[in-house]
Amino acid sequence: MMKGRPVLGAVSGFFFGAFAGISLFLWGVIDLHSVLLWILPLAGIVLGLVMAAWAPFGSDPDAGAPAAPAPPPPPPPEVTSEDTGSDDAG
Amino acid sequence: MKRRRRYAAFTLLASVTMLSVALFASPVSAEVIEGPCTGSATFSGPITVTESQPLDVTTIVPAEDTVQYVGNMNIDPPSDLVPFAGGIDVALPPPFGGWTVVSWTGDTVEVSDSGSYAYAVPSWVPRGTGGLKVTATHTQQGTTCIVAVTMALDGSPGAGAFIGATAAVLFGVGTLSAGIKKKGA
Repeated sequence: MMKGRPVLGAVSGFFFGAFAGISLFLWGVIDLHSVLLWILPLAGIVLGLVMAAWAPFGSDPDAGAPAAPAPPPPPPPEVTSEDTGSDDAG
Repeated sequence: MKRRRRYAAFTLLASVTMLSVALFASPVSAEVIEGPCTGSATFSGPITVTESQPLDVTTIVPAEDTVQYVGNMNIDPPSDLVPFAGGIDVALPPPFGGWTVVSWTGDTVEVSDSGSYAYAVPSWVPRGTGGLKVTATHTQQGTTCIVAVTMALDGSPGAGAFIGATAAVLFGVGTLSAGIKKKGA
């Protein structure tokens, strides 16, 4: 289901949103009573989980895997004494 | 695979929609006034704040000043002492409510007041921030007055703003790194 790291995404996303909101307030972009201050941490959690589900970074384990070995060739037909008998007769 | 992508796209769309609603929603009502009160506060500059100032206008005030204030309940003065109570709150982001800066209570025969008040905001309070919704409440003789204004302290963002921005960048990298594929996934 999750190809990435959902716990890391949720925790980092929460703090990313929280610090982004605090920074926006401290830099005078939003007011202290703005709803963004609690929406941003929630959106951060969602973003982290989306990143974990999507997992766009890193190599795809299926793409880099070596090809499956070819099946062994069928064994040659067995040579029986009846088959070789005609040579001896000549 | 298609189902997972659809799920991720839906979640992303939902969060973007939620953010857009919050960003583009019209601001809350203008000035919030309950009761018949009038008043004003004049800071050095001079910067004057009145009860009719809209909430979406942020008044930048000095961190240290002497403010001249005038307030009137606009009700009939009592013949005897009557109890009063009130205070000043700063609104915090939901769900935290408000932080009471100062409160008052007592008995009086007055229905108006004026004077000057010297204040100095502690140095740990950040300057140059977004607006703080400051609400003053006063109740007397069964009448309640509520006046709210948006204020901010004059100054430039301090070290806290840089620390917050750095932390946001670091946790942003952490959030993106959650999208690195796990081995064996």
